[in-house]
Amino acid sequence: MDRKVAEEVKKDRILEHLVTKILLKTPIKSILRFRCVSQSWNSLVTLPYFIKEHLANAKPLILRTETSSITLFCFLTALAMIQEVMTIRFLARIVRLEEVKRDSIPEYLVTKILLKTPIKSILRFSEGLDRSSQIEFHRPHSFEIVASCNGVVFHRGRHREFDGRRLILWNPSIKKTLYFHLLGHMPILSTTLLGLGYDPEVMTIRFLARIVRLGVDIANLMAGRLILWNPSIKKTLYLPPPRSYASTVTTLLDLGYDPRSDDYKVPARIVRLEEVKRDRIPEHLVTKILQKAPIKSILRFSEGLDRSSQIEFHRPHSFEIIASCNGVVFHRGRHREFDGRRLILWNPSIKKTLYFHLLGHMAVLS
Amino acid sequence: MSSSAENPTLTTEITKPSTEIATETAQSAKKINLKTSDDQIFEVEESVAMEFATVKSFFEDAPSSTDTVPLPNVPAKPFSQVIEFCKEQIKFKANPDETEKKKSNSEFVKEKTNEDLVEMIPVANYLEIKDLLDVLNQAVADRIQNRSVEYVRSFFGIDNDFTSEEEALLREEHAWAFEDVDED
Repeated sequence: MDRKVAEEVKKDRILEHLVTKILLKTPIKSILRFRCVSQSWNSLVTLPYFIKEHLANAKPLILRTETSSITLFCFLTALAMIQEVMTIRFLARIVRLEEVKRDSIPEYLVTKILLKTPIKSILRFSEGLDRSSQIEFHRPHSFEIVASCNGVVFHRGRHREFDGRRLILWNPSIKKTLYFHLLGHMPILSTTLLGLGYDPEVMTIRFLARIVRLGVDIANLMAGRLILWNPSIKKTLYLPPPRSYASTVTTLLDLGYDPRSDDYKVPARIVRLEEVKRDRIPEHLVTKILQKAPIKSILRFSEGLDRSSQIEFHRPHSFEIIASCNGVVFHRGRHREFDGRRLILWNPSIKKTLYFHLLGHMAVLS
Repeated sequence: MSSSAENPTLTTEITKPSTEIATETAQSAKKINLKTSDDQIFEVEESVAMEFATVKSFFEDAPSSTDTVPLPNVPAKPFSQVIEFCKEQIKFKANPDETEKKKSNSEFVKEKTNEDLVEMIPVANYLEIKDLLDVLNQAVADRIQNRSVEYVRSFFGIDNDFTSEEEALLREEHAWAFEDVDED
């Protein structure tokens, strides 16, 4: 039958845009294979438009690890956002790894990518998995998951072999890994935060991702200078110190990407929690949001805070900040009252907070 | 709208419903002639023809211009299957039942050959029948997703324009994607 089809079906019988629609309905594994079909198919599926659309409709993946640990494995939660979901309605794209089977070794984990769905539906989890590919995640305990964005996960090796300076960028859905090294002069502090940003122009199936790193330069620690590092364009910028830098611990920095910025130099939206008063309780923290501004203006940091609203962040030490993206911060309560299972999604700029609970069978790892 | 140029008055009498389709108005019993690219004339009920957005806008633009609508991009064979689908769809319009609709859609594609599907897609696209296009695209996606590159080329009638070196490189890059593929 198929041979008959081959003979009778003429070329271009199905127009390219119709092929696109069909391929968007197939899983990532098939798409990677079909890059070999022809040059036009190869270029079609590597178009940023195609990748974006496919990611938006992707079914969750199954992740597999070799660990025999029953109780604990990484529970990764991260927020990422792309243009369309960055709405005040506080929807977010959520990538989540979940332990789905406790009884067997290896454990199965699920990456769930929810887009444009209300938070509630995160709990309706188990349906519609992409079973076409299984992803193995070896020695999960050797890695610290630093950030994730649009299905790309950012690791830092914990073991000595990685010497703490090697960073790993991992896209489980296409099973690609990139390694790179921290710059020599940048020490890693526990306060160093790393994040992934998304740039629609560079996000190709070839696994480019734009990474922005904020670090604290130890040589300049007294001066409290901050480093903004974008490895993808190999640029480093030094930021002036926050006005009060007494406590680096409570200083949270994170970057997201603002697609509306026409600037190739990227980032733009910066969320920054900064201690502004040194007198103790309660601590006041400031959220700094720079938007639509070219990278230059990040340097003009201390001016132009949004004073129209002051955000209070009570008991910052009770919360562990798990991830943040584009101004939305994701917490996990540290204290017993939160029992470690309650997750908090917080958007300081619109002062909205959502709570949700982990599923009962999901163990939480510190 | 009239099927006869001599008789522009709308007939209100219903002779008898030719199918079990609920006839809501007298007009639903009206017939429209559609001429395919291979010069076959299909007489279809107006309610079915109005499922084809292209035909519908034809009548909106020129309500009484002709009584036979030419469909130059539509061959008769896939067109008859498209009509079959639309007749089914209309039933669900009067009485929406998502489960039954899904079942009916999946039965529709199940009995079609690969060739049928590939032929119907451009027709559904030209006639702008969104539901059908979605159903067909999903059916094709389901049929090709676990198949080899060679199968997919023959499915769509595509010539391999890679050099063997280029293809080998691509295969190497995503070697895992070529594991556990269904036999052709």
